[in-house]
Amino acid sequence: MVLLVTSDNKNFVVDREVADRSVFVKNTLEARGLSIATPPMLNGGCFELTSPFLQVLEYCQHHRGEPLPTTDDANADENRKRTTDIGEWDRKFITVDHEMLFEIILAANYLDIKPLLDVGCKTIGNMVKGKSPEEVRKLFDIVNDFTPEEEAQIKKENEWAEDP
Amino acid sequence: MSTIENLPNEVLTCVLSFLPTASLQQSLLISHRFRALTELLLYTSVCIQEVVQLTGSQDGGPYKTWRWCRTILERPHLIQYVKSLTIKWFTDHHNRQSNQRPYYPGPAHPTPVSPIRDIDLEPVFIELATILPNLTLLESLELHLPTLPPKVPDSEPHLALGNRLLGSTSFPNLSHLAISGLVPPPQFFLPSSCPILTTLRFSDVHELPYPFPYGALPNLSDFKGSPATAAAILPGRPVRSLSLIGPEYLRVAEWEGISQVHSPVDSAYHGIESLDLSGMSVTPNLLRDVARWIPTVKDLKIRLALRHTLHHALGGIALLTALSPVLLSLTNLTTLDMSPTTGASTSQVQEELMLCQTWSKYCGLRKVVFPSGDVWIQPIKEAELIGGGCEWILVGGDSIAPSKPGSSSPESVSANDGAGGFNNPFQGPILPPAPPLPQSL
Repeated sequence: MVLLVTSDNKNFVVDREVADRSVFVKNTLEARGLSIATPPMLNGGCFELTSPFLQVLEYCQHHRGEPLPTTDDANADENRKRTTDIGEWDRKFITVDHEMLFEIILAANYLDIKPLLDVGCKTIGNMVKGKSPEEVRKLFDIVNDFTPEEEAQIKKENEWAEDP
Repeated sequence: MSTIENLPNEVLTCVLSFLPTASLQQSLLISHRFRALTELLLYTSVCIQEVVQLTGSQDGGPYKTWRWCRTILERPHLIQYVKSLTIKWFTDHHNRQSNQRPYYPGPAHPTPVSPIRDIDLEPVFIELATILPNLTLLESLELHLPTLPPKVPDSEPHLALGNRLLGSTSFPNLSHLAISGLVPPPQFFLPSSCPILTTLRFSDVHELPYPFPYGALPNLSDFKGSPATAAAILPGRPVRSLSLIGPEYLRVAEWEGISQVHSPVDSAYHGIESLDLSGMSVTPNLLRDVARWIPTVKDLKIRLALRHTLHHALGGIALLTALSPVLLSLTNLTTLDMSPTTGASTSQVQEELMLCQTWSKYCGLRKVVFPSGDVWIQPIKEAELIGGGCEWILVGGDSIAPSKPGSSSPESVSANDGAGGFNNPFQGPILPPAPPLPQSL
């Protein structure tokens, strides 16, 4: 068992197998040479709120025991890019409001949980896909910082990348 | 309050990496931050494919290629992003007759190509020639630029075309290079120009017009081209994978050149292991030559020449039976892929199984893909290691499509061969009774 403490001082005791979904936690535990028997203290330190951490724990519980993705595998990276499909459970799991989605992604990025990060990024990607720049700005409250001249220039510069 | 602006650059880049190019076009225009991140992705791996009309008005010129060149020249910092560049032109000539045989300027089958070049490609070549030598971080380069062949062979301006593009350029990180259309191919393979190049594809070059420099491409492991270019380039290089294109016959001099592959540094190098002949018409005679000159081949991919009605009538099985003596001499063969063969789509499970069993007595075949698309494998079993039987299993192809009755389980078509060690076919145990066959037969 591992004791994880969030930055708002909430304690979570989880199985080592669940905690190991996070490469950050796994490496930290291994670097300190801690055995599974002793519950070590680990300060997460990044979470303003307990709620995204609960979500992340739920994800790690569900996917416990699955093989972790190998790093720097060029082929795996190619395959990853080819598919934007999200599994049934993951899709339901990630169906949350924008704020929670960003919090989960930030947590996954900080804790280094690559599959969860991918699920989050694919979800944003699927929202962006097929939308005009204006629609995307509206969806995510992004300020348009281009002048019309700049927009025209960027369009022209990248005409080579247009689909035939 | 978390917004999308809170996400760090590496996360947004991850989001963008899941988007198709059309969406990247849009994300460029969201905000300055999105533009910068999108450009990094767009220019890291550049792939331009466009239809170019070589004859007719200037409107049909390679606009996208030209536009990319202009952008790079106007904003030179983008050069450092480019790791992979593919430019592919499809010509109007090609478009009009899409089922035409691939253009191959060999002496045996001269292809008549006579349109007059109207379009002026000079501007785009000048720009490309300015940019290419600066792409020093390139890892992969594919140029398929079909220009028309020179009206006067070896005319000076045409010779210069390819050389001007790549000239005396050095690409220290380049590992993959494919060039077609530029005839003759650029002469830039100085020993120092591409020190780590492993893959070279000359899909339409018949003969190199220059001697290949000694010491160039010391790491070449994968080559595709005509027999003559292979014979010129392969000697002394550790090529493991070879694809040949052209007619159905190789001269002895070409086989001699190809057989001189060699690695001066790698003692574990044993010659060509993978041979792809799907760009040729393969006859039993050609395979006999393969066995003689490249006996190291483990993986063989072929497109069989089905010439007579008889060949077609039996789904090519008759011709395959004739292959048996040839395969006998390819003792290192483990995979035989005949799927590129066209005109033989009927699947005949029983005959295929018998062929697999016959062949595997003589060589170490583990996987056979038939012209019908059926895939047979022979998994290594413990029983076999101690001298027991080995069995073939149908694992792919039409014959195990779920809709077909009686073939629900691939295991149902497995069989015991019982030939024992297949390196010594004449001393195996007595053959067991005929193998069980699927009910559908």
